[in-house]
Amino acid sequence: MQFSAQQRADITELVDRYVHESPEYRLPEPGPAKSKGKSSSPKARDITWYVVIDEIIELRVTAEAWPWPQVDPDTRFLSFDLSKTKRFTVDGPDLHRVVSEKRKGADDPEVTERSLRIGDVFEVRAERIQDPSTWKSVQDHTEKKRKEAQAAMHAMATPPHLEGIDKLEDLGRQLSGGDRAAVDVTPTQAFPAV
Amino acid sequence: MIVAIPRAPLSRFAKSDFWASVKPEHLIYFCLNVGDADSQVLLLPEGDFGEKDAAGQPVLRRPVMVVDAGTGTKVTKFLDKLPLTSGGTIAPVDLIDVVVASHPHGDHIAGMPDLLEKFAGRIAEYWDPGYFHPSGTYFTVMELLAQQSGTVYVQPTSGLRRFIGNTEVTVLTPSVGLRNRYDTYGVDVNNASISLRVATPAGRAKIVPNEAWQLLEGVDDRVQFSLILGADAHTESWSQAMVDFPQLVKSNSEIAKAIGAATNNRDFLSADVLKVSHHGSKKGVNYELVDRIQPKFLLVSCSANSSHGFPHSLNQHILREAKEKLAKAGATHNPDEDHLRGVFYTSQKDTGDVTLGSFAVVGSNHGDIEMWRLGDTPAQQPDFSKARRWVAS
Repeated sequence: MQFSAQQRADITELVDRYVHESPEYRLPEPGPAKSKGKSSSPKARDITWYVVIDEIIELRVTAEAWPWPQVDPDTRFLSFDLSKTKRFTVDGPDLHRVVSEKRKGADDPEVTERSLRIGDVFEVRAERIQDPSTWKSVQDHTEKKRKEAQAAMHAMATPPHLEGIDKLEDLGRQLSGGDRAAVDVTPTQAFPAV
Repeated sequence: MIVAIPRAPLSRFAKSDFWASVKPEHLIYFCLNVGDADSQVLLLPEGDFGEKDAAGQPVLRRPVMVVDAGTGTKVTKFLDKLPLTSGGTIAPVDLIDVVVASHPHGDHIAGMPDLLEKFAGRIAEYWDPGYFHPSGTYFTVMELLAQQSGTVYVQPTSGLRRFIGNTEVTVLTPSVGLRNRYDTYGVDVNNASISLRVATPAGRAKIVPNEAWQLLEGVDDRVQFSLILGADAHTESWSQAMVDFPQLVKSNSEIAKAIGAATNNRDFLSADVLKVSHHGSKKGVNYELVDRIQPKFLLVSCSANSSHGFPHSLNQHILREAKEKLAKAGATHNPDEDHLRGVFYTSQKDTGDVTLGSFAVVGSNHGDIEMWRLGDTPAQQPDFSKARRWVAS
């Protein structure tokens, strides 16, 4: 679907004016902050980590971890604190045992018992993430995060598609034929000029 | 397993002025010492790309390619410092013509966020294999690319040829068949690697006075300087490359002539330099591949204390046997003679216990290929005042 710069500006205005107030058109909002990666308990020093399996060479597994990411409210990309990147290589069977024992939220044996794979993503609460024997809980987010990675690539490579935008098109045209002076035509990241 | 990285003889290195040896027609390849990771920079031969100075005179420049940025800031700082470290031989890098993220493993893209931030708006093309990897670095790279203005994003597969001045860049892997299977979760991300053949000069036409352009006769790969940058591709990926780029024996048959005309009579799986795949893992190369490439130099980017045990002894045996065929006779290779076979490692030391570090390989169509070592550890920048040239004999 192609829009002129004027139509995009009109739609942007509509989004600002109506969509955020309408459940029907509500954009995905940044989720609740997980205490910026810190535990809410003042005594605990656990951090909620985002752990991805990066490389598997036979019995050795390299994982990378970051404090759990937030959604950037402006760009809607997952935002990681790369200055806190941890990269560590551990024994694969040991890591698999920890993941299997601690994994929560998945009743499907296919998920809980399957081997580790490159691209697996876990939410882990731990003080020392490089030592899986100290991990306290493990939640499997693999399927969701792989889809989000795919979406991130498409969001980068192509103009973003706003859900429900087809329904807004008519409203946009009406507005563009009406009070044009009230419409800010500055291109935005979501609706760049064409 | 104890990994043996043999020491190269001190006597075979000659301290010399690296930049004084570089000529405008040279392609300069840097394989930085970044441990078990890849960071490579190519300064392509100088050319006229339509840029003019204030007086309207053509400004010649070297196009720049970056292939992987495997650590935090090393490759960005290297590019930043080039005008200084080259003593003015290299102009400030105002534009990176192509950035290649061979595949989204951390040891290949960890430095991409820094590169994309420092060179924002100055990257013409960004290539990656289109493999979705849910790592923090991958998400960050996507976000930073979304903010780049004017950068063309490309997902190349085998057979793509990109001409940059008088340099030809051919994508060897991944095959489109592999790429179409990424989403089955069945393709190892290493096999998604973009591996490249870079060759110069690409020119195959000549000017004849008062005539149309004419094809150069008798030009074959031996007058090119060529490199194969193997990324982390494994056998599954290379096997498809060997199908996509078949080895053709010279023949006078009509069909052979037709195929030869279509491929300019070249073997795309031959090269002067092979950056050995996957840091020398045992899956990174196979014998048939290395035997066919027959590179003069085989460069392994690996750590001295690899957590994965790189380079693997099986890989070392393959490299050795491909260059020195002893297996049939039942003989064994002397590891200390790797230098005679052209096999070198970034983490290698010389017999005087001095770190050899990053590679610089320089070549042109004159057959004047030189390999240099820049003496840096993974934590250091290459120091050109310590540059030493490899003396083969």
